Amino acid sequence: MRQSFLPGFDRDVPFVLVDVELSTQPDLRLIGRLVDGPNATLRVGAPVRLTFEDIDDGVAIPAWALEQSN
Amino acid sequence: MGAGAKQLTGRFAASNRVAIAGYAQSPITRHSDLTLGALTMETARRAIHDAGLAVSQVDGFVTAALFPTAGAHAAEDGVSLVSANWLAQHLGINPRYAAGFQGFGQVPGAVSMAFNAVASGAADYVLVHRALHNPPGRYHANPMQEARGSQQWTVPQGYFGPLAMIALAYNEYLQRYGAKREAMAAVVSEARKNGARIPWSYWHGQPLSPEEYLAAPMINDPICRFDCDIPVDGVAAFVFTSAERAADLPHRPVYVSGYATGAPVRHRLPLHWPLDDIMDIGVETARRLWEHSGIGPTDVDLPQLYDGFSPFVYFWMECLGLCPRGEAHQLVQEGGIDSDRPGALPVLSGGGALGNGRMHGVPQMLECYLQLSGRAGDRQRPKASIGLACHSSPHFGGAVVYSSEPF
Repeated sequence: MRQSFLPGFDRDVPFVLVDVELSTQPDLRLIGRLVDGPNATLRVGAPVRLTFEDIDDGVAIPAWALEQSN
Repeated sequence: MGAGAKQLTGRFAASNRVAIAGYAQSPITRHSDLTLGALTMETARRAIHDAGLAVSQVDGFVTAALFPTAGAHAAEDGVSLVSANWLAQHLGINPRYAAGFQGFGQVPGAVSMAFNAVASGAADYVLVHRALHNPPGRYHANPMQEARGSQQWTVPQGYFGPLAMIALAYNEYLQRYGAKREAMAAVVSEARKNGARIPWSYWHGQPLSPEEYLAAPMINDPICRFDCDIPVDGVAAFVFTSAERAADLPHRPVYVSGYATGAPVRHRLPLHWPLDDIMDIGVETARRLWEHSGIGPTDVDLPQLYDGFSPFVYFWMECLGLCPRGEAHQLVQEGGIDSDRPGALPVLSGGGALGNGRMHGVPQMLECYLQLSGRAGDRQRPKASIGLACHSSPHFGGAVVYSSEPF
């Protein structure tokens, strides 16, 4: 994402969103920020693990990190 | 389709019994000098006159009034959208039938409702219009401070608006099939080449080269500005009536052979359209269309594919069976959609949304009407007998089959 139509994201661009299918429940998908940033090497099918991103005091949202061990 | 869902099949009993008898298209501009309501009234009167009718004879009004912005702009009837009842009232008519289509694939949806109104006898002459508005400021900008409902799962992450939606699906396509952005340059320049030839188009006289396309910066990778249609003010209107009545009117009728809209979709997050959803469900939309209209993909000599975002052209080509799945990007790179090349599929001969401006499914429908009625002027194609006009995504949207002869 190099532009956002929402307020508050201008300081974040560019950022990477990923569409993640849960291994525990195929066909359930979540979209979130990839914490590895825009320079990470990405491909469809790459495994990720859940993490959380603190976006404000007391507010954390799910995000994703590339699984390195695989 | 859920497991055990009944597959409904069968030819449309009223196929080819309703026809388009006339039309009007306003100039397509960034910001019209007229308010949208006034532009719609003017365009509606021109369409009714074109069909050889008086305004007082029109007894049905149908539209899909949606103002398709993700932004916070006011949706005001007569200003940023125009409903069927607003138009009838301001033309001084108390119609027998007035209705609005609520789903996706707004133009095919409105056509299907107008058809059904004529075929059932709910109205004799139905005006279908589509009015689109470009508000001041950024089209999709939204100053929301709180995300409620299902948006709480996407907005805090920064996933918002249709560009992010199409970028995900297009990225899946590029990676899965090894497609390159260079192939899409052929799609966008084809749309702009044809749009440049159309006097009412926003892009009249302004083709775009593949090099210019590829030089544009990314907005949401792999989507750049030229992959998106440009927001405009514009209105189109069409008059529908029975095949029998149309035979007595001045222009050659163009018959509606069948339509399909909105196959059941999977439950997803807001604006989350994974590629497999688009393609698997889009194939079902296409199956319904062929069943309904009684033809198949090889019968269509004027396919007009939706291109509000350029990747939809690939998705429709493959869902409709105009080429195998995963191969549209190869076909377009080989000149397979060059409307000036004999034997190619002229899927953007009418310029589409990329070549006209954000008129939703109007350019596709209008090209089918103009070519099949023999009214395309300098752009008239030697052979145009069966047309197909798509709108929106194959899984959410719809399509209509038009014919120059009843069959």
